[in-house]
Amino acid sequence: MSAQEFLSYVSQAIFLALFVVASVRLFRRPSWAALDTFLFFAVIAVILVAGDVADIVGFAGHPTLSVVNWVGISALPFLLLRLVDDFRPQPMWVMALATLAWAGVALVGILTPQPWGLVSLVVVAFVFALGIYASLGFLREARRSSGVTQHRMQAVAVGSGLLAVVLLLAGVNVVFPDATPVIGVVNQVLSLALVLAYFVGFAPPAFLRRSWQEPTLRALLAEAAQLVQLPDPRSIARRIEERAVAVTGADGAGVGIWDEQAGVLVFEGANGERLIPPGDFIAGRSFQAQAPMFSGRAERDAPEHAAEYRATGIHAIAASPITSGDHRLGLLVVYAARPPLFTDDVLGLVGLIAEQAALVLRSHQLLREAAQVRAMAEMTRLKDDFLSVVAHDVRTPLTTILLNAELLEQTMDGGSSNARRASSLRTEALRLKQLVEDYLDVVRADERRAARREPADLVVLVREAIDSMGEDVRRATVDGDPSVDGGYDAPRIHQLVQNLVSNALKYSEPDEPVQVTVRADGADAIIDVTDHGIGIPDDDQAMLFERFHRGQNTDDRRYGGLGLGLYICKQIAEEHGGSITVTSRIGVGSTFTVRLRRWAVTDEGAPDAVGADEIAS
Amino acid sequence: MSGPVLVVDDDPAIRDAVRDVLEAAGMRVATAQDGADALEQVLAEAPRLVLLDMRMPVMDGWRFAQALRERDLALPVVVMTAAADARRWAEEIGALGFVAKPFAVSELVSTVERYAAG
Repeated sequence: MSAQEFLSYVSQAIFLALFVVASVRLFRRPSWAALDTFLFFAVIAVILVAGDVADIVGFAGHPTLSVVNWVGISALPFLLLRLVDDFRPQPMWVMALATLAWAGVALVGILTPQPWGLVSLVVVAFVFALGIYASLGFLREARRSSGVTQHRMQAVAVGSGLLAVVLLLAGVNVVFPDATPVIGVVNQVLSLALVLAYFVGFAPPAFLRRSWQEPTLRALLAEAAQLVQLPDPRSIARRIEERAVAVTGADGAGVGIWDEQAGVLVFEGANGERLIPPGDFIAGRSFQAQAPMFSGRAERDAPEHAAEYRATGIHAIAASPITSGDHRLGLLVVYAARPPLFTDDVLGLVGLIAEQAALVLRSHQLLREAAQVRAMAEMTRLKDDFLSVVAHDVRTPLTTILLNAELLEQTMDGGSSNARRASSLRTEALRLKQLVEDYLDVVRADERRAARREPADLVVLVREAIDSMGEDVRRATVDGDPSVDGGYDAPRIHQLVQNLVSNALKYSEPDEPVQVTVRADGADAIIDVTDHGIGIPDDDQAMLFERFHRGQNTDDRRYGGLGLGLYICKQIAEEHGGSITVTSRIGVGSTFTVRLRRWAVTDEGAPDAVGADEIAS
Repeated sequence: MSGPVLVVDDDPAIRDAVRDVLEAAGMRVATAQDGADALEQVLAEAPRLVLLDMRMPVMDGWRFAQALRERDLALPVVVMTAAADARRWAEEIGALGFVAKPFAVSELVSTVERYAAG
């Protein structure tokens, strides 16, 4: 086998492989472009196979064979031109002229088996011109696109240019068989070059695709950082739309932002907002399926909107959901009048841009949420600062009033009306103090959700609370379990017990006892505070733990307060993962029952590590 | 003869009321309106206890305590503040104890008696 023959076989093998690739593509994603590509390689395959078969069976030089070659070879540049026309419409007259000319050439070949001479030269010139025209068409298209598509278009343009030259040289060789034997060798080399160019263009290996894609990827990533800083999702969407058009060479692109509440994709265009629910249009279907979709004939694939597609001249649509993990953010749709030559590349690009969009939109969302959290924290801090200042400024004059009232009271004769006035001053100052502390406490506790627990014995905490209340609490007794350990917020437990006990004392006669029972109930601790006082009407019991609630049978002058005490108790119980309830009968008395979780509960519902250890010990 | 109880507060009404209470309890009292003033009094009077407000102009309670430390003056100090976290302030400046405003006469007197030196 000579070197020339070897080259020839290699070229033929690659051509046949390309024919197989084109057949598979046509089968998997039918389109006019896929059909024309298939026809192009089919014609080449027929010419090659026919030639080889003829060689093997000794049929070479038969007139039928030359007719097949003639018709086939002249069809090649025509098919290339159709391919150019498939994705970028050519002028009608060009297509009409080319079709007529090819029909004429084919006819000449069929009618005159040996049409050598001047006719042949004209035909060769026609074939050459058509090939070059198609090649230039691909080159123009390459300039408009970018990345993988651009490289593939360039390869196809080179291949088509070489095909034109090879056909020209072959024609010259046939017309002037004795011109020079070099032409044959040159043609074999050029054929190999052209088939390699077509291979790179029509079936590029993965490593080539990746290296061609890299600059696009880099550009997308570089831009992502800037896009995140844009003020709102709409402006990010607009930039991504521009980017999608530039990268894919499509006619237009749209980014729909998913509106969770409304359940629609919001596309913003020149004519205002367009709302598309999931499942509607190809875009909505892609979003619903959370999968990329492509349609080369939108009016057929979404017939319910055929009129609109026809009116806008859009026929090819690629859609890809913009989703980051579980977060559905939106959808990217790219559209064109005609499907792209390399559909898979465009789909890949659309997918890449959708990924970039997901990254950018999600980051933007997270940044905004973080900013909101910061703003909230700042507001809480300002409020806390303000409350501290208010508290400080109220407590200072109260101190003076209290001290002076007490000093006055001491210097007065007991029982004199001035002593009574001084005493009243002091009591009211104390009441004002309590009101202010309660109010501040409620405002602060509204923001606090969890108790600051430290290991302690609840029975000890309850006793401490009652002991620090002064003379009157001798009426209160504590019983129940000897100890109930756990993690408790000690100051808050003190407050809870003092509030409940002082209520019990306040609403019962001075000689009636108040019973406090502390006991453990599995993982819970229970504090009961029982009095034999005036009782609470049923109507009041439901509202008892609401803010600013006052009982119907409580005389404001006799029982002072803002109605915050029990609300605070409820907050403290809830901070400890518990609750507060009441049972009461008018004229018999009331029992307030506080249930607390003895230990902080982790998310899994198990006691935390410290708690578990202490239970075990 | 032991030194006076030094009452440091920028509010004159508080200074007067606290002095009246402590004098009624038989103690000698000196007053200062801010940390800088108090520092002079400390050197002149050698008080047996300093009742110290935290929030004051010119020199606040925290800086006064710092100034005491820098001069190696080991004086008993009790924080007397209207801030919510009186205990924390006391711990932070190394005071013996605290009285949180507003307080009653008995509370003030018992605290001072407990911590006053001599």
